[in-house]
Amino acid sequence: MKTDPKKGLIVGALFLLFGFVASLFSGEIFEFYSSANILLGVFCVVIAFALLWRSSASREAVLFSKRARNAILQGVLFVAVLSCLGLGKIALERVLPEWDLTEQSVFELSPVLQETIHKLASPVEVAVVVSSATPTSQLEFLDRVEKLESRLLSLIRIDPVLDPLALKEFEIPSELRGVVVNSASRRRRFLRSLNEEELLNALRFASGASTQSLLFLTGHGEPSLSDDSADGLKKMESVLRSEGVQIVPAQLWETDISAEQKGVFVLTGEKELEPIEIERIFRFLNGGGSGVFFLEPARGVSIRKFLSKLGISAPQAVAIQPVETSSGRLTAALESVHRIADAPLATGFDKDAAVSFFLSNPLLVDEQFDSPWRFRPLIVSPPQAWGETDLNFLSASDGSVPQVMQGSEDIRGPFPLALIGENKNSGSRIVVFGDQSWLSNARVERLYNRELLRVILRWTLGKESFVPVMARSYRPSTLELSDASLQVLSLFALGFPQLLLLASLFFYWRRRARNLGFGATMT
Amino acid sequence: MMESLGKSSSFRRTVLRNVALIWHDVRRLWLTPFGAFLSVGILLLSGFFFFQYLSAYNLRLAEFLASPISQPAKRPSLHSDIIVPFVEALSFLLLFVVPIVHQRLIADERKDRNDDLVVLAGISNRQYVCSKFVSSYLFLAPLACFPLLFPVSLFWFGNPEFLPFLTSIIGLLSLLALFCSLSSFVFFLFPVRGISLVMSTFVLLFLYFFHSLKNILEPSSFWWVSEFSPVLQARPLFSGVLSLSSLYFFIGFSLLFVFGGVLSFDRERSL
Repeated sequence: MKTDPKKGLIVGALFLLFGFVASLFSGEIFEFYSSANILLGVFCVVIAFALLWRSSASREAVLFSKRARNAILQGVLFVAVLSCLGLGKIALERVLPEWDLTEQSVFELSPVLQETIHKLASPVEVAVVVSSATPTSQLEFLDRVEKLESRLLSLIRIDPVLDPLALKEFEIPSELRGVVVNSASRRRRFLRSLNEEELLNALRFASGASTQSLLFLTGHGEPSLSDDSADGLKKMESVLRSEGVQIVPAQLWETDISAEQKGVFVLTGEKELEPIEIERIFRFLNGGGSGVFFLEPARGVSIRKFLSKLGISAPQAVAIQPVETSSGRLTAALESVHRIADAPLATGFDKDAAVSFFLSNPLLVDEQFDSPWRFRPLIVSPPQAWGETDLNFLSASDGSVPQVMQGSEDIRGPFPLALIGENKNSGSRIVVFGDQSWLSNARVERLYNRELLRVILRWTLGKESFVPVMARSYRPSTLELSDASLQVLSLFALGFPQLLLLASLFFYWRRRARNLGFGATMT
Repeated sequence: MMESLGKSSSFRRTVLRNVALIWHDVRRLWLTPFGAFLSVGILLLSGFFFFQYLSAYNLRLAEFLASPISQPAKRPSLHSDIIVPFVEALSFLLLFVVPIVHQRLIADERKDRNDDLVVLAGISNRQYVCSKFVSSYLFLAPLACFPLLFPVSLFWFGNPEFLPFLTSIIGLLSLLALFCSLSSFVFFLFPVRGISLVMSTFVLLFLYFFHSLKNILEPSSFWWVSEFSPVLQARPLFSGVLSLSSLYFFIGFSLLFVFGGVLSFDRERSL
């Protein structure tokens, strides 16, 4: 049988190609497959060249070897240029500029994050969990952070499958996406998601001051911090923890608030506050402590007595916001949405940022009340809202939307639904909300509720402010198509090609008629 | 002096010969039913896609406006919800059109032995390959731009951003240049008529879905998949980022494949 070295070369090249491709895949079987292919490929090529060398005397072989040499040379030249291009692409990746031409710079890091990274005072390690399931947008975000080339920030990508030890080393829980660690102080903060806001605030936290302690008042049937049901506060607790706040649940019947506490967090429970508790909280606030207080009209009992000592009256009422239904009928909405862009403390929020409350209690400030406290509204109801004083509908068991109307007894809007206050003597800060259900697991992540919680927490505890980084998007569209407009556009999508087809047929026939003479038809 | 004048007139003659060849090819494609049917086909399909994206967008916007607790940043936008998917769909359509055009431009000419005539008429192998690439690009670029009239109509009805739309067009034309050069390279590499068509479509499809390798490869290989995937390289341009790195990729690799075509054609002619 005559042996053809050309076939040997082709088969060898194919083996090598498959071997190379298989080496790109992970897994033992691929490793074996790849090695076997490469070995066979090398064997075939060596044998083919040996045969060529042996039969070099024959004229055909000389001709073939010449062609093969040319082909190999051309192939090598092509691969060399390809490699140069590829290497050039990788090398120039960081050098070549790119311009984000979207109006809101959707694909650039926000200036505040860039500034924070450039102004880091100590080395910071950012370890992030990256796997094949990580969305491209998040990988691009990490690339943009890396491109800043900060000497003090090192970005470590951890694959949980290939490198579980690194995951253990950084103690990243499986449900979180990463951690920011200050290499000097070992201060750390976990990343719940990979986005600008999370990274920015984690960086600020990791390079900031120590943890602060907050007393969480218990003993009155308050919702539980460990409850993960819809009414529980587990999600809120994780927000507080992510802010570096150490939460200390405590009762105030027997012991006073310790000097270590920076603030108190008081929710409405099933029972009223005892006079001794009110006195202790009041003393704490006058002594420079801070507090956040929440009313809950649906719960019946509340902290009204305590608020009255500050000059805030909270009448038994629920804020109702009239909403027009699609049929044009006015109905009462118990859930209300409030824009907060112009509210104090909300600087940096998007102009469309809003929070959602449910059954909120109106809060009225007595301006004549003699007190060192000065209050400002944080969130105000719309003018058309009113405070419904007939609360019988709250006990309706059928869960239907109440058919309530504004009566003469009701409180006319607008009125504050949340207040912020400062003590002009001690400098203490407090925040009072007419609703506490927005902190529940079911509601804390709605709209900007979580961001609002962070803002008031930081302001109350006197920490540097939380910096919201708004998700940027393309220009919001104004195009709303009716059925008729949609039909016109779809007709355009069909009619335009048809018109083009007819026009081209017309020109084609005309050209043929001109070439063949008058009266000619297309065959 | 006379020598330089002679050189410049010879250069002019070469340029004119090449321009004439390109013009002849483009004209031949446009003035036959082939060009018309191809453009009508693309317009019909892209019109269908456009209508689908528009209807989906309209529905999403209605849902967004009806919901009182939607995140403002998640409001649908004309660019991300219509223009970007439309341009991506159009680039996918072109992937099938490019080999058909090369079949007509390169394989049919080779079958009729026209390439011999052209080369004998004083056009070098390099010029022949380059002119075929330019002809196909000049034929396909308007073909790719016609369907953009659909998103242009959005400017009358709504307010999409103009600059990102412009970069989307740049991205589409860059991707098209890469498709044209790669397809012509495959056609010159495989001289057999049917095989070159199949191979070209296969190679373009492989290149188009190259980024899907990310799902099966090791994470350490991700970076080079991103670096060399045309779809991932075109994505910033489609989205509104004018990236010189992406343009370098498209221009560099288009020239590389044209160079590959020259090498293949040289080899074929030398046999």
